[in-house]
Amino acid sequence: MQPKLRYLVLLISLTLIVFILRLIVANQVPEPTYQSYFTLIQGESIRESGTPRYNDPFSYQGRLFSFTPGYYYVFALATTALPVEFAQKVLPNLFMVLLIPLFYAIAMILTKRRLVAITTAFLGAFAPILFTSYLNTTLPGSLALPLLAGLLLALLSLEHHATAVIVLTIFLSFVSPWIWLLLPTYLLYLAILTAEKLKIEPIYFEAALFTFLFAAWFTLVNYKEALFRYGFGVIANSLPEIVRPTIFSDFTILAMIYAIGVVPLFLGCIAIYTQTFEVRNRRIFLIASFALVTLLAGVLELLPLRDSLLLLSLAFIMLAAPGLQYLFNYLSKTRWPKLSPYAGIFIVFFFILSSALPAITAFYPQSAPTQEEITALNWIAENTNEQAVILARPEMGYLINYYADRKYVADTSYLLIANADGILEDIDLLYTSLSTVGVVELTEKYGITHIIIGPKEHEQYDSFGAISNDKECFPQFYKNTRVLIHGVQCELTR
Amino acid sequence: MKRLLLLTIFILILPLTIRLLMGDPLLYSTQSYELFLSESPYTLLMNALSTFGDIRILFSVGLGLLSAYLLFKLTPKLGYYRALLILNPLFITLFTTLNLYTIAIPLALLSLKKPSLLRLLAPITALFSPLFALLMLLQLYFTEKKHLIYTAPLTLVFSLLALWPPLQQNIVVAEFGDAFGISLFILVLGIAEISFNWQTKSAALFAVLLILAPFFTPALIALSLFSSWYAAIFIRRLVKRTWLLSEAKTIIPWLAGCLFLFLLISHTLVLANAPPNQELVESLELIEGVVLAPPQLRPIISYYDVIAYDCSDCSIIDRLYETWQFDQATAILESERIRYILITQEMRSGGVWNRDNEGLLLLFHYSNYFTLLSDTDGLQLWRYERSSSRD
Repeated sequence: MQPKLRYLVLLISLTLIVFILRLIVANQVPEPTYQSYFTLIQGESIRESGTPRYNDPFSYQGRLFSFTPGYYYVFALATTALPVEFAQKVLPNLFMVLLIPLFYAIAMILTKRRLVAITTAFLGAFAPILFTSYLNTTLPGSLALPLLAGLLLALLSLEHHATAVIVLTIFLSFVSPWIWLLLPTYLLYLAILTAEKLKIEPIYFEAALFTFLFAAWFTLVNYKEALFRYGFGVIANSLPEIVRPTIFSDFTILAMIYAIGVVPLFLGCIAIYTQTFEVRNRRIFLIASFALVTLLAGVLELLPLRDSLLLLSLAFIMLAAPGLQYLFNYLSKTRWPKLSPYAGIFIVFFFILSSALPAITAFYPQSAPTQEEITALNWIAENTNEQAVILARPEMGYLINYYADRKYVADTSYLLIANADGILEDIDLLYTSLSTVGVVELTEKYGITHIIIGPKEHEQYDSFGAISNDKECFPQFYKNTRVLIHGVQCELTR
Repeated sequence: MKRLLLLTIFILILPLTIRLLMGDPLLYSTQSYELFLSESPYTLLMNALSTFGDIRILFSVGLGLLSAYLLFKLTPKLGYYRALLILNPLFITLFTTLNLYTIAIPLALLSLKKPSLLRLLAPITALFSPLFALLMLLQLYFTEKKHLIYTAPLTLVFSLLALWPPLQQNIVVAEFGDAFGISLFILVLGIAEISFNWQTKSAALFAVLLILAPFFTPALIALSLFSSWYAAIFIRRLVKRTWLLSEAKTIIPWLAGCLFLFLLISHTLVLANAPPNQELVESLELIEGVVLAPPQLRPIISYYDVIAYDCSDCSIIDRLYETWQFDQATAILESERIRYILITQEMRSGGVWNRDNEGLLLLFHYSNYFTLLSDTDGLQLWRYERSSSRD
């Protein structure tokens, strides 16, 4: 078999194996995760009316959503042909395995060696954070990652792939705000070329300008309300104080090592060092610029920790290719040049033992709703009037929206919600306060008619207050093995 | 030189070590503490440094060491007598406390050592000590006069920033809904055009305006006009150039056009919806006493000869808005002599309340002591019926 065909078969096999493995791991939990239900809601809305649900009468008892709709259209399109349960499992995993051939292609452009390229693809397939992300969660990030990788691939030879760059920039703008990472990447790249006294191709200026104009226009149109309300603080200030530390956790080197893997990180650092001080390859400068911009965004808390680690792993897998090539070339100059291919095998084994296996075996599926919760919500849909307002943890919000079609107090989309801090504090008080009067006051404040106590509430609270103790004011309307639903029968007299 | 530097370290850490052994805080002198109460570039720098732990005093000592090194380098002929340069009470005080001169002095000494760096050092020094910066400008005048044309205005700007109390930043952006804001989009296009001719005098002026704009409204206005001019030149450049990215050639002018159109429409709507509107004016005609209204409406209300409640301690009004207890609400209204309450849509949509039955709004619905006089286009005027008038 020709080498080219042999490596192609290897690549296809790797992609298929990883896809199947991802589906097997994902199917450990039959239901999609809590966050995925937002996608299901939007997909349903697009199928029914052709547009996403921007104005939601149920969320926070009526509010405006602000988000990039591209992924939800893709999901809706997929679910016109496929069952929803099937699509929400397969689609994100399909998008994530598209990264593997993209890593291969990028490595081929950077190194022109198939062995290096297939090794890089393998590293990318099993990088801890890439493998464990979007297994059971259908969110725009699963599509944004391969789009970003494809965009970087096209940018490596912009002169020949100008149309691809334009199309992918437009597509990525519709899918995720990550498009904004590209603008500082361009600027940093051009600054590095200037500092290195390398020729700057004007086409990159044009690409940067196009990205800026399109992203600016789309962001202004799509997020106008959010920008009016939060201004420059739209990223951090839109989140409640209670939630912010969990999403913008401290960015540490250890977190980076664990997420990306020791081997890709090490090889990426070798690539950055050798290309910066020895070879001065402009393509590596482009990817290194992207890595540096993402790192800065993570450290400065402009990106949630998880997003910045995902994007960094993307960059470091790409940089691992020239790092690997440098290693092979170096070994070939030593006294044992024939050890060079064995070094590759050793690296792969070390990567499997240090990163891939722990990532797979220690993987704990993100929590997904239980069948009991869904049954309880179906009961609410059938046995409560349409004006009922349901109290539950914010994580349950989209679930209530999807299954029960009822208004609820809060969900995890905090953008454009005024006083989200106050609402979350009130929810905590409602569940834990021992004072019936205090709880009734708050139920009247939010118009709450039913209170759910399920797995999410048990996770958050060690004990419950008046809603459990006062049977007269908060009678039990429904019970199954894991969920209780209480009503609200008392009101304050004035 | 090494011995002199060791002597310097010993002299500088001696008072601090004694204080440490006595258990006293390392930071001494009232001036150091007063500095922290002010808002200055130095305070901002110290706050930034404190993220690495309390290394501020070490920072001063380190700068003292640097100053001593530069002094020794400038006076090589003195030999060991150079030690007398640092056996100076003021030198020891300056570099064992926190003060503006710990930064200004080494910068000034560096400019004596390396005059070629004056163009850069003078503006930076101006942030901490305008007088030192002035001395450096004089030095520049006597050495390289031609560079004054860029350095002097920049030094002046930074001096103004350092002297202007407090250091207030008020970045208003049109894209964020500010009626008096500058357009970020136009500013970026203007900067893009400037980058092609960054060594001209107008580019220097643009840079000066960019620095001053967050602090002074006239500078913001001038910057806005400048940006529009350069943005127009840039758009013309884009339309006329030969594009390598041929697919973008058609799209980019359309995109730019769409952005300008969006900005125009968005800003026009902001201005059209700015207060006052007809509903507010009509509501004001119904008022015959003191009205409680959002602070931004008070000048407008006063213009229409209505008495707007002006609070010295607005926490009482916050309590009024939050309470749903009748007794508490009426006590506040009676004590502050408020008869009318004006509620805007923004107040009900998260400005003050998030729900229709929250706080004072709940009382409006359930109590007979509040009468709704008008409710148009989200603007509500409520009258508080005093207990005596209802008896």
